[in-house]
Amino acid sequence: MLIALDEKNPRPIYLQIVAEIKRGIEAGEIREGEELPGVRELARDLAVNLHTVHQAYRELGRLGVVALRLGRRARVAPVRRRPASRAEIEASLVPRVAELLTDAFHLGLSPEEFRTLVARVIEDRHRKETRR
Amino acid sequence: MIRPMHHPLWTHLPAALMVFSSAGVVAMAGPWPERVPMQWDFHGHVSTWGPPWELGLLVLLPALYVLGSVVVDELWARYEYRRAFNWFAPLDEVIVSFSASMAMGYALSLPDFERLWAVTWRVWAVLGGGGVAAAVLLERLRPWRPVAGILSTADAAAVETHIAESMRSGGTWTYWETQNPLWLRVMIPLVFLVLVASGVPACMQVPWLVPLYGVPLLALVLGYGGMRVAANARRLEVRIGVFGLRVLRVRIEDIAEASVREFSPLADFGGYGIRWWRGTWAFFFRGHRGVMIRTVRGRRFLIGSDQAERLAAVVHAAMRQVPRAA
Repeated sequence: MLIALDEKNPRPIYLQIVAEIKRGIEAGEIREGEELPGVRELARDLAVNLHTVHQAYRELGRLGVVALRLGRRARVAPVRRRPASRAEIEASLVPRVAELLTDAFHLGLSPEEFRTLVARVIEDRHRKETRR
Repeated sequence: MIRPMHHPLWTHLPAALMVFSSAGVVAMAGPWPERVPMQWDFHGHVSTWGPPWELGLLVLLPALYVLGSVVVDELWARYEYRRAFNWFAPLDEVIVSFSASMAMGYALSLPDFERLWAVTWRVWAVLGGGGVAAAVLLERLRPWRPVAGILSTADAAAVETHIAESMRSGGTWTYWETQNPLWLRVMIPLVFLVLVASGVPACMQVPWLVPLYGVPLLALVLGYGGMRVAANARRLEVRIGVFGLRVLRVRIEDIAEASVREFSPLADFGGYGIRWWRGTWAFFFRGHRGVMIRTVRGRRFLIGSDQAERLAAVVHAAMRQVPRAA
């Protein structure tokens, strides 16, 4: 899978790595059970600090996206077959959507415009998946 | 989110129907005698008798066979790089129809088992013929879902654009993929144990056998963990094993050409692993597709890949980023 970092992106590097790996799994570039590169290897290839990659892997482990085991390479965790419980969704997704809504407000978007934007992103994603 | 199967379950419907109908016919038939014929000699005479409940195997084993074939067909379809006819699919019906016919033959020839084979062949002609025809039809109607690893031309261009954008923004990128198939993960520990079990007593008696056993053992240890291909703006690397032993390193500026190739692991290279044949070093642990790299010095490397188009797109993008010699 491809991990590309954007220096102009204001997000911390470790979060960019997290986002890229999550995207790669969703796109099927890397499948469940497959190994991720070692921390040292990835840090060298991306020319970033060892701790940045380590922090990204820890975050992915916390999210349940990768399985971390002491002394072994990180592996892509089994992809969830069924939707998470309501409580889990409330705890994980709702605060982030609320934060996005706030960001949209500060960008001058109305809730309705935000809804249209989300619908467009979902539609684009769906079109890409259908083509794939 | 439940992911749809690549090889739909309904393609196994004829086999499943045969299993259910044979189970039904056997269950409703009766009364069964205390013993039924189980084996026949070369002259067609019954040589072994057994209790009738053992006929349950004629239903249970085909049912397990159908379950196994669901798994095999699904695995097959997941590596179906272009629409093809899966010859494994009607094999279910051939085998299951025979078991089902045999089970029905027992039930229909009760209480006179002299007619057993005559009835079985007749039922098999109908079940087998109809079942295989239905299976062939369903296999042809089965939709094809492209493997995620295959990129369309547009997607390959998108990968190259993605890399080009990241380079323009001053960012870095890396690409990697792995090949660590199940057969390798099972075979290596198994062969390792066999070699240790046979080698230790042998080496204690004949010391010069140590390198004879030691070298393959070392190769097994180094090879365990499969193969990893990594590429970035500077180089393309192939590493093997848990220790990441580097077996190939090509600088991007040394690459003259990268193209997707299909090959036959057995016919072209005599097997899997690290191979050399007719001036080409090949690295692959599964599949029959990869990227052929030709260097400016004319050396050729074939790197096996589950996502060959993607790997080729990455190498092309990297090649565009580095200054080329005139």
